[in-house]
Amino acid sequence: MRNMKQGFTLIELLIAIVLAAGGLMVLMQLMSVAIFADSDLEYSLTALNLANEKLEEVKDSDYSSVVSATESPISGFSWIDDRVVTVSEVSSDLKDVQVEVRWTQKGGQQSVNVRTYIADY
Amino acid sequence: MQARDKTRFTNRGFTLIEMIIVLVLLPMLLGVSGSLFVVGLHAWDTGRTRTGIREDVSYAMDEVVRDLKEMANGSLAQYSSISHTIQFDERGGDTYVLYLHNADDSSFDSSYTESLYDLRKADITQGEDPASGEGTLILRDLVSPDATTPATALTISSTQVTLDIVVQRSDEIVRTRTKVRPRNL
Repeated sequence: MRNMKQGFTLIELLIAIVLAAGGLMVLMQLMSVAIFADSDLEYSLTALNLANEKLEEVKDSDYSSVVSATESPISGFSWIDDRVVTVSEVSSDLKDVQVEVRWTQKGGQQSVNVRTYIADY
Repeated sequence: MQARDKTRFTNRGFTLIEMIIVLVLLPMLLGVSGSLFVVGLHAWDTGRTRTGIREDVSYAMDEVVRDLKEMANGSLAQYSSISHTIQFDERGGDTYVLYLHNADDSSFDSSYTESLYDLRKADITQGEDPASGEGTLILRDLVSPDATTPATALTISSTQVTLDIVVQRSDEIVRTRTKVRPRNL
C-alpha cells in the first residue's frame, strides 16, 4: 500500500520526457517531409515553364537553325544547372526536338523533359 | 523502530542533487524541443505561403498561355503603348487586355510606382476599362516591373510573348518564366 503511493521515480520521469521529446521529433520530421515534397513541386513547375519557354523559342526560329544547344546558367534562375536542347533529324524535313531542364536538389539531379516534332513546311 | 525507520526512508522525497539534475535537464529538454517546434512552425508557414503562390501562379500561367496561344492572327500589341500590357483578339471574338493594376497607382502608364500589382484581364470590347482596374483578376501580388531585380515583365516581340512572373507574399518570392508563340501568327 505504501509502495503504491510512491509516485514517479526520477528515472521514470526522465524516460517519459525523453519519449515525449522523441515523439515530437518524429512529428517534426513528418512536417518537414511534407514541406520538402511541396518545394519539389515548385521547382518542377518552374523548370517545366522554362522548358516550354525554350520550346516556344525553337518553334519560332527558322527550320535550319533548329540545332542542339546547351544553355547554362539561365538568367534569373541560378538554381537551374542547365537547359539542353537535343535535336535529331527524323527525315529531311522533320526534326525531333527535346528540351531538358536540369537542377540539383537534395544531392541528386532532377530534370523535366518536353519534346516535340518540327516540320519544314 | 525498524518499521519507523523504513517509513521515513521511503517518504524521504528527492535529494538536493536529484532536484538539481531535474531542474537542469528539464529546461534543457524543453528548450531544445521548443526551439525545434518554433523552427518547424516557421518552416510550415513558409511552406504554406509558397504553396499558395505556386497554385495561383500555376493557374494564372495556364490561363494566360492558353489565351495567347489561341489568339487571332495579327492582333498582338501593347495597349495604348503602355509597357507590360498585352492586347490580343480572341479568334472571331472580343479584344482583351492583360495589364497590371494597383488602385494606389492612379496613373495608368508605363511607370509602376507601387510595390505590388495585380494581373487582370479586361474585355475592352465589352467596355471593361483597364485604367480603372476593370476585368477579371488573374493573379495577385506581382512585383512591380520597376522593382530592382527580380521584377515582373510582360514583353512582346513580333511573334512572341515573354511572361516573367515574380510574385511576393510576406518575405517569400516565387519566380517563373515562359514564352508563348501564338499559333496563328
